[in-house]
Amino acid sequence: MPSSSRRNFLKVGMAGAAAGLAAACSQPAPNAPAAPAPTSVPQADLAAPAMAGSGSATDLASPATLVPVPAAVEPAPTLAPVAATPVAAAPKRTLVVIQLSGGNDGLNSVVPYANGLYYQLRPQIGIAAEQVLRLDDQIGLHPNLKSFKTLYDQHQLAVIQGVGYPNASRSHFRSMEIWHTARPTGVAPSQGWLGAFMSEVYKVGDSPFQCVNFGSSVPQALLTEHAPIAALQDTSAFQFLVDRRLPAMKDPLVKAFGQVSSRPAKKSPALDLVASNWDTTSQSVEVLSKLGDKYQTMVQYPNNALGKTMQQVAQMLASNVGTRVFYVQLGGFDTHANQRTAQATLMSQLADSLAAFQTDLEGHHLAEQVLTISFSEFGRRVKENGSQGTDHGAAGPMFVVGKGVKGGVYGDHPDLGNLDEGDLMHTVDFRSVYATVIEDWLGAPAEDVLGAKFDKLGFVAA
Amino acid sequence: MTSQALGESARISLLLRRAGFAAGTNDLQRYQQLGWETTLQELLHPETVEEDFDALLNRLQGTLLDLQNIEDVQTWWLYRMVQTRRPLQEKLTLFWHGHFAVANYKVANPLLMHRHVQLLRAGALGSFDDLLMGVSKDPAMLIWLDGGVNRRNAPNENFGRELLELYTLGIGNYDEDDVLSAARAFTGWNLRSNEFFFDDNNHDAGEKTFLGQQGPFDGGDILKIVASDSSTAQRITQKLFTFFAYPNPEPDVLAPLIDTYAQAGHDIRALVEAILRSEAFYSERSQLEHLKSPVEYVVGTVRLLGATVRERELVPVLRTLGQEILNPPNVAGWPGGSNWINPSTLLIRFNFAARLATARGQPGDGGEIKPADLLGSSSVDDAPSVADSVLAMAGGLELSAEAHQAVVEYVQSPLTYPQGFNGKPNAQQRQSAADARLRGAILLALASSDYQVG
Repeated sequence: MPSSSRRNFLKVGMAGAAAGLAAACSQPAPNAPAAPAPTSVPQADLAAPAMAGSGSATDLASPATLVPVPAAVEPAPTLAPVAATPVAAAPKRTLVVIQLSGGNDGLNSVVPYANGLYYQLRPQIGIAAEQVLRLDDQIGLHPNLKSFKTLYDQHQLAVIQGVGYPNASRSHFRSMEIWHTARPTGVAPSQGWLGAFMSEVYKVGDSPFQCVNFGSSVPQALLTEHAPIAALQDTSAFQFLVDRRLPAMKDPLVKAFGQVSSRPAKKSPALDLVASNWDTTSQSVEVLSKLGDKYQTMVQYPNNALGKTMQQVAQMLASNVGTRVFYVQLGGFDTHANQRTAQATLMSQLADSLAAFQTDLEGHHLAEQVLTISFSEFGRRVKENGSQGTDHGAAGPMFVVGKGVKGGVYGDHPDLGNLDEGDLMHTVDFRSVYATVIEDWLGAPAEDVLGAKFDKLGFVAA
Repeated sequence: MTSQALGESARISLLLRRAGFAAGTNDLQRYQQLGWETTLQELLHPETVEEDFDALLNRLQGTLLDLQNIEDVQTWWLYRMVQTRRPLQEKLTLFWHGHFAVANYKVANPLLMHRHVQLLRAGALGSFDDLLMGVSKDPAMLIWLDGGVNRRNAPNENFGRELLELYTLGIGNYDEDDVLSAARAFTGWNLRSNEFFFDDNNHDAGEKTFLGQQGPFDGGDILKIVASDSSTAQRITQKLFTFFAYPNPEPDVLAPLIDTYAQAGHDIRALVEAILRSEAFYSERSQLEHLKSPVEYVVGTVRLLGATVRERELVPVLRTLGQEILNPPNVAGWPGGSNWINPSTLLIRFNFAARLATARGQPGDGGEIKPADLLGSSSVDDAPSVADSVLAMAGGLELSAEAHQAVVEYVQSPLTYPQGFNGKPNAQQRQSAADARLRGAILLALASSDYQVG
């Protein structure tokens, strides 16, 4: 576990913290410290080099466009930690990563229904051929992935088969670390693969929401010392709740909080971590307080945690807060026993939430600029165990969803007759998927992010 | 908290934060009178301190507490943490809960979760080998890692793998064949009517090779082998040290602690005592690199402020802070350390602190604190001394000169009154405004970066 990351990326100042608290209060805070002038105005082309091929030189998120600077109020107490110069917001591409935690059983997600070995090895939990939603004459989707089948028929779903890496680890934590860092051998670095991407594109002064994690802890994939990570659980509740409880006291409190949050007495990785995160907290509060009602939806999201989170992702996308990467997790895939029901529920949650999300994006004319990928740390053992479940395995499928996807099936299905200690041998290296996403979707140089060159797949539409 | 050598009083304060959940003014005074050595002995020997929660539990059960409801079991445990007079025992129970990390979202039986916590508490300071054996046969664990359905014809690897990777040896100290052998050895360790039951018919009594040894091992043999392996000693020591002191300890700090553990026959009490006596535990590194866990933040602050709270309301706070007790995120428990801190959890810390600091015992406040009692005065006239009392109250918190000055200026800024107020305030209004100012100062201490560490 990285002991101290997520620091160093910002010169932590009291202003950010104070501004966040001020934003949470109901009225402007005249006594709030004046915002320091932005030290540099990020020009659109400053951000461009890393993103050649992404289509637009003004790709840089421009939260300035959504932080309205009060026209009349002169020393804006609402410190927008961003460029003051409005840059025309051009459509930018966003990646949404869905982590399926626990090890999703790939063989029962993308089922090799035409292969007799599958039914021999899985007499109890195999999915009957007539229930499978057929993609071709060999494979089909789990019956609860109906919404995925619809997306597939609309050429908006890519299924990548047999994704993994050499010498697969069957440990949840080691394998997850490998997926997060894209380094299957040696000591894992503290920077994650998406953190490495952020460090390529992030410029001081960018939106605090360039990289957004949903959940109470931030995954290693996002970690970097060079860019902040916003962490949210419920966007509507992201406010400092203090003005109601200490009425008429907020202004001096705002000022003092800016100091106690940003200026620790001593230096240590832990104290730096807290102080820099306080700064991101405050900036996040500031931006979120201005989301307003830009987002409305007619789409009914599934009433579960993933559905609710995907709706918040859509809200943030519709509000154009400049996010390049969203990270969302769905747990419960460690199905050692009684797998059928547990996995069936999760499959519906996944497919139905993502389908609702896609429909919502269409309604907001955002579907062209968002790509969603899902992965799990490993697939599961081919042969079922004695408790209607499966133990930890190796390779598994990935799903890629979006209008920018060239739909279809990619990679070869692993050979059920040629197993490695009972587990599937991968046919596609996961770093090939990452390379495709980084370069062809996000427009950054994949080799810099991944530390090596990997063949790309063709699932991003030209 | 100056560098290197802490004075006795600061040592006691640090000890109580780490080996407990911090101490309020009265408790702290008592411990200070006892002195560091006696305090340490009292912590290490909970059996010498009167604490009869069970009688209370029996009285409340079925009326205020329903142990078939997970929130009630969580509330019950939080109540213990807030009230306990045996803080080390309770803190270690939390440690072992994070180590074995059984969660109700799969066990789905709050009564068994309660029983699991009782088992951890009873064994918290005993022999690790006994605790491991107890947990391996515990109904909640048997459900959690599918021991209950591990059968001879097709072993379920769940328990066998996590036993080696997470509970004992650690990754890199076994191979896949060892996992399978362990899984086979534990076949038949099943569950009947929610009790451990050895099902001979489902046990694989055949020869197994495990960590280079051969024999017709059963589960008990496997537990003995892994518990006596040196990598287990290393791992348990490192994990406990990190829990109490700081992450990534130096090898020469760990070495004597590992020796103590081995020489004491895997006695947890001896190991914990050695940690709590070590120089490293009181070192500057320890002071600066220990991030408060959500439980330490929430329960510790409640104790520090002598707050009356509704423990039930702390459950969702801990959930959003990322440490919902009895529902750890996965088999590895909480990764802890820097993982506790992100913008979302900091915001929730702030809002929790704001709610607590402004709790006036009114309906909807969820509790009460009394700033004037805590700080020894209701006056805000002498702002520097108010700031000093607030920081002393917050565990001897040290702020930077700028931050300290900001608190002083906050306290001395003109008192404010509700909107629409005209004319001279009367005594009661002045007192209420001063009270609000004290609460704000307390909030500033709790929201400071410095308070999240230590």
